[in-house]
Amino acid sequence: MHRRSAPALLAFVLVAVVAVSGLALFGGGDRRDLAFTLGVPSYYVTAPLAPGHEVCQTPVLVSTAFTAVDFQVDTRRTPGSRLAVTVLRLPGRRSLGHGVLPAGYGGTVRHAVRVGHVPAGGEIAVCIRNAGRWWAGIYGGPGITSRTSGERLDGGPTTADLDLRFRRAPRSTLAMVPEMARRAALFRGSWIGPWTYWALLACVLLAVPALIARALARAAAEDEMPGAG
Amino acid sequence: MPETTTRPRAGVRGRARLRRPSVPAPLAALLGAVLLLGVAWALLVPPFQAPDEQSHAGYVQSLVEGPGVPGDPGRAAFSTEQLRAQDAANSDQTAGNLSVNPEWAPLAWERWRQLDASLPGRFRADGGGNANPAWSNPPLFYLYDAIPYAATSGADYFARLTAMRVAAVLWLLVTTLGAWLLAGEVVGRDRLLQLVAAGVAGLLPMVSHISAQVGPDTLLYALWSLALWLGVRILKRGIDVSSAAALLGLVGLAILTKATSYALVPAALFALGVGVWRIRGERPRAMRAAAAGIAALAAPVVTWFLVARALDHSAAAQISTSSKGGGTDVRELASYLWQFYLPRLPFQTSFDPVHRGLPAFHIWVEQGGAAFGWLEVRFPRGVYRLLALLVALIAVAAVARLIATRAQVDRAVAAFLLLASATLIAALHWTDYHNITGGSGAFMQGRYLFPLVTIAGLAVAQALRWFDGAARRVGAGVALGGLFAFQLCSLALVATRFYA
Repeated sequence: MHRRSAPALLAFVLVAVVAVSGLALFGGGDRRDLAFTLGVPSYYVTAPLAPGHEVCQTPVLVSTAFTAVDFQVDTRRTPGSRLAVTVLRLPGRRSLGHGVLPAGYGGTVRHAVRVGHVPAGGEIAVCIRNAGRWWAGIYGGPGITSRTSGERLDGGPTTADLDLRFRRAPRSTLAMVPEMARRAALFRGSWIGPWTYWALLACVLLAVPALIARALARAAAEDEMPGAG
Repeated sequence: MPETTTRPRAGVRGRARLRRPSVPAPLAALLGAVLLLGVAWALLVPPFQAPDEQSHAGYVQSLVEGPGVPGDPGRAAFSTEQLRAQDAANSDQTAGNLSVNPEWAPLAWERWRQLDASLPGRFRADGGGNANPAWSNPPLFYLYDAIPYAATSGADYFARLTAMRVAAVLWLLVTTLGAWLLAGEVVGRDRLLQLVAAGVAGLLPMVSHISAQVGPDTLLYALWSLALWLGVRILKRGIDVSSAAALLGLVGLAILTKATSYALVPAALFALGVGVWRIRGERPRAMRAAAAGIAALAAPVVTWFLVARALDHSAAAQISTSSKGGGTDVRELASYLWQFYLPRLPFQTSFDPVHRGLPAFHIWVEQGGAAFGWLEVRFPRGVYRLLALLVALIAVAAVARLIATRAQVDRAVAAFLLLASATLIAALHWTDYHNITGGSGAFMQGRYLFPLVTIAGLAVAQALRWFDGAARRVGAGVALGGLFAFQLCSLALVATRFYA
């Protein structure tokens, strides 16, 4: 390291190391449990379910394995009806998972119902059956919000989509980096894959600071040359 | 900003004539970093998750696949192929909506590839209508991005989009080069200050984000940065036919890129006028320089107007629309300006009932500082308060330095840079005011200030001139380290928003 460039380089390296360390710490502490979502907002009750009735959202592409289905229920001031959630493989409707929201929850809140491990890949139907004694309303939004799937109430299509979010065990953002690389590589062109993002990560974390440090060192050195100031 | 350098230049110029021009090592290294970060932005942001990208991509596709410059009222805005691509990637639902993610399912990607491969060619060419919001833009950037599109026309739609983005990034290198050259003219051959000024232009995350999308802004920033450099060069070194033609020619090309660039005309004419005035004693030389400049400005602009007329296409729709929207009430305009920068007074009618707080903060600091995707991907509010404080400190330090060294300030250069900045900001406010009063809604966005990013770089360099020796070198290291850290955090923010 040239003597004149040392202060600039040290300052740069210090700031860069603090930034990378800070990001790594944040990424390690930031934990997320969202596997994927249909991206439907909870605008209104799209599926009013009297006892014994059922609503399904189908077909849902499973981009990531999940263990719970999360949705919002309205109980109309009743204690909250028992709801049975079933995950079915398509085609064939073989059961992949099952869970129950016990009665007595009340109010208008979101609930995550555990359904067991559902692996990534393929298509599923997610069905919610009112298995209790009271009315229950499941929230969703207009049918245009989920492009590839739709809501079916007692087997018949509706003009709405259910707001379903698929959960899994929480994991840190840092642990999700390989998954993020796989997701980012979709819809880019066939010559781009997850490897591209690993290469970019290396460039951003190693090559970019090295180039900036080189620029600083050479600038300080050139300012020392005769005729420069 | 500009302090006159006292260093001898003749010797340096004389030696330069004998040597093959080479890229200075600090600039080359910086350009490498800027390129890598630009490519990272191009590949990280999901397709169509940048402002109006689908409109700009539709324009390019219409040029290459047909029917040509978009604007036919009888056609669809976008081709069937593009609409299916937007649908497959879940782009429209994701845009501006933090609760929605792009499509993550590999199966959806595979299905789309099979669909695209079997799509007849005519479904690439059935867009080009005037429902495309970009249809009224001039064509220069789109003609440029048509090259990577055409070069990858055998590939699927997303590969073509990616190629267009990566090609757009190359203009960010020109913007960085322009900032380096401008700083060289203003501060002299001070490599650290040049590096910091160029680093601000090339490493600000929002500039990278916008420059790495399909859209004309990246070319706009590049042309403005070169024009500002050439204007200052003329004012410092004198004018001749080639420099006059180059400056005004760049302004003409900038007008063919985006109508915003009419705001560059007064400053360019000022530089031309001062340059010609200074050689008025040599009448033929002065006349030749003036004629070359005017001809270089007129040639591309008049050609575009003639082509647009022949195609029955608007040549400057943004300008004609903003001048028609609503009337101009001077008191109302003054009230609008007051409310943009200062708290609204009780008797004033609100111009922005949606946002609380100052529009100047929302737009210049939040949107201009770091608002990615369709402006919805942001840091916590406190980050922007810190950013505002930092920008204010730099601005105060730069202005204080100018005042402290006013005897050395080149007033023509200062007037040129001030005129370019003031005209752009005034034009933006004029358009915003008329859009609001005309019922079209607010127009202003933070990124509209980025044509002046090289002047922002100069301001940081100017602030650093308070320091000498090791302190200045530490300042340069902190400035570039801060920009790198800002880039890193911004990339991480975007990655987690779209993929986690």
